[in-house]
Amino acid sequence: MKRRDFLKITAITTAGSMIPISLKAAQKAHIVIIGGGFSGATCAKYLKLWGGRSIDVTIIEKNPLYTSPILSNLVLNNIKNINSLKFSYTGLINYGIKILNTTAINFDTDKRVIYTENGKKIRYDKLVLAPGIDFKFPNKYDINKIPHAWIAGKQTLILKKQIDSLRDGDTFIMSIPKKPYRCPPGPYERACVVADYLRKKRVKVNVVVMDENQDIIVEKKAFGSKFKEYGIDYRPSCKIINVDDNKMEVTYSQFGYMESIKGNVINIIPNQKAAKPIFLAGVNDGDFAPVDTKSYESLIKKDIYIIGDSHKSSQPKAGHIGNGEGKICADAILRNLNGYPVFDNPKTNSACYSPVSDNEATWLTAIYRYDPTTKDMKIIKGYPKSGMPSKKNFVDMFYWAGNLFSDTFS
Amino acid sequence: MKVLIPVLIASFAFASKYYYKPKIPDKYTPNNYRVLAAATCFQCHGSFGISKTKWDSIIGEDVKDFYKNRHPIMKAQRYGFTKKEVIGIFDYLHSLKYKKIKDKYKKYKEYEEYEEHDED
Ligand SMILES: Cc1cc2nc3c(=O)[nH]c(=O)nc-3n(C[C@H](O)[C@H](O)[C@H](O)COP(=O)(O)OP(=O)(O)OC[C@H]3O[C@@H](n4cnc5c(N)ncnc54)[C@H](O)[C@@H]3O)c2cc1C
Repeated sequence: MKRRDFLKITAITTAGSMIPISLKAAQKAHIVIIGGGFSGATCAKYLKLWGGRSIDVTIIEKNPLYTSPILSNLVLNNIKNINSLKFSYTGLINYGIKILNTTAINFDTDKRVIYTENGKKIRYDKLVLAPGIDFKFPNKYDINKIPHAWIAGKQTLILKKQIDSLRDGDTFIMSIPKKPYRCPPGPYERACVVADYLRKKRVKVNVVVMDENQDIIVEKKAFGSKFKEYGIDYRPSCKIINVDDNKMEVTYSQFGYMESIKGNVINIIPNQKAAKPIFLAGVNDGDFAPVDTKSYESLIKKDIYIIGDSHKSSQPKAGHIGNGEGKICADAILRNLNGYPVFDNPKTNSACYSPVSDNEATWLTAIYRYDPTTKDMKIIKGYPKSGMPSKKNFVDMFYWAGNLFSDTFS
Repeated sequence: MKVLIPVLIASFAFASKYYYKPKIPDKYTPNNYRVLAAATCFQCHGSFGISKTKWDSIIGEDVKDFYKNRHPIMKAQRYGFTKKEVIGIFDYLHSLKYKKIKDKYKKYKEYEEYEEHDED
């Protein structure tokens, strides 16, 4: 009964807003997901596994293949080939999900329409935004010369090539963004992987890490001891002011002083904000999109859901938990469409394996439960949250990633 | 240049001991806490608890295995999930109509399929 009412309402609002829709389209709710990364792809898959033929699910994704940022630091030290981190959407298509290989360039959230780069207008009943991150560059500079390599793919390969060009006496500079940013341990992991790689290649490079945070923000014991072992020059509280791709120079402020430093290879990982669709759809509050984590529905606009790195909550911006958010969101949408109350006690968990050399890794985990008073997730306490580097962890890392990749893309 | 991309995940290929083909339903039946709690296991243990790597397939395990597991990340999950939820997870997984595979390698030949794509 309730489901019928919902359809009636959709039909009226859609007709009222003069969007031509076919009768067939009106029979099934259309859920459109922007972004086929860890959160978006998982949400689409579970929408189909649970909602089946009662719904139409479309992913709008700008890249024909997805490149996983997870494990991408291992491309830098030759452990992984970038092609082994690429995933096609064939697995999702097999579930009956439609993939549109184009960019979403605008939204009319009153009329429930998405405009795409290839000139299409796409109508939705429920919109899921899962577009990941964008950067807040300190100034304009050429990212082909000074890569971030924080969205994997081409950028990873540029950084890899530059690191391989380093010679004795050179300087490698890396910056760590202010939190919140994608993958809290990731930059510390990268510093360790690169320093270990250069050391094993017997190239004497000065590795400088400039962190905008006041201290190592996660796994301090593990990363701190590795930084010491590798002789990494770690500088806390460094705010990047200017990046000069011509002089290969970074200007930064630390404890109230301005300084400049030159590097042969510079890897600025800029501060972060949600990707463009969040701003185009008008669901941001500051840099990210606030949601009720019971459903991931926007606190600003109805029928828009935000999952993964671009939403705002106490959960880390990471792929493993992004996959979990996708499942909670899928179930909440299906309940809403079918007139059932949203499940009120969701839990999520996070797991990260961080390589710190070519044969050791650390791990980090956390479990969250829903807190109805804050509409946010709250960490459950009482267990060890991280572990020291070991060879066993390094092997486990691939078992973990393999299942995460398959649960998301196949 | 053309590159070959594995359709599933060839580089992580490992033969699973279990097989389950989910049925795409005609309509939604509300998931209870059991299904949603189980879904939080799938990132590490594979969809429907069937692992595609050397990590364990929990579809073939039981409540006692959850509490016996000494892996540090599993220790943390013990704090995160209540006994009721853990029992629910296994009740749900055992209710699925899955098969145990004898000839593991034959079934998972699909991992050897590749697609050709333009290099970006
Ligand atoms: C070096 C590194 C290591 C990491 N390690 C871990 C780890 O160990 N564990 C972990 O859990 N996480 C890790 N992460 C973090 C993880 O990769 C991200 O948190 C995760 O990818 C976020 O998923 P998402 O779905 O929000 O966004 P993404 O995976 O970035 O997906 C977003 C998708 O949206 C598409 N898109 C964006 N805008 C548009 C548009 N307008 N139109 C169409 N498509 C669009 C993009 O092309 C992209 O495919 C790591 C990250 C890095 C960089």
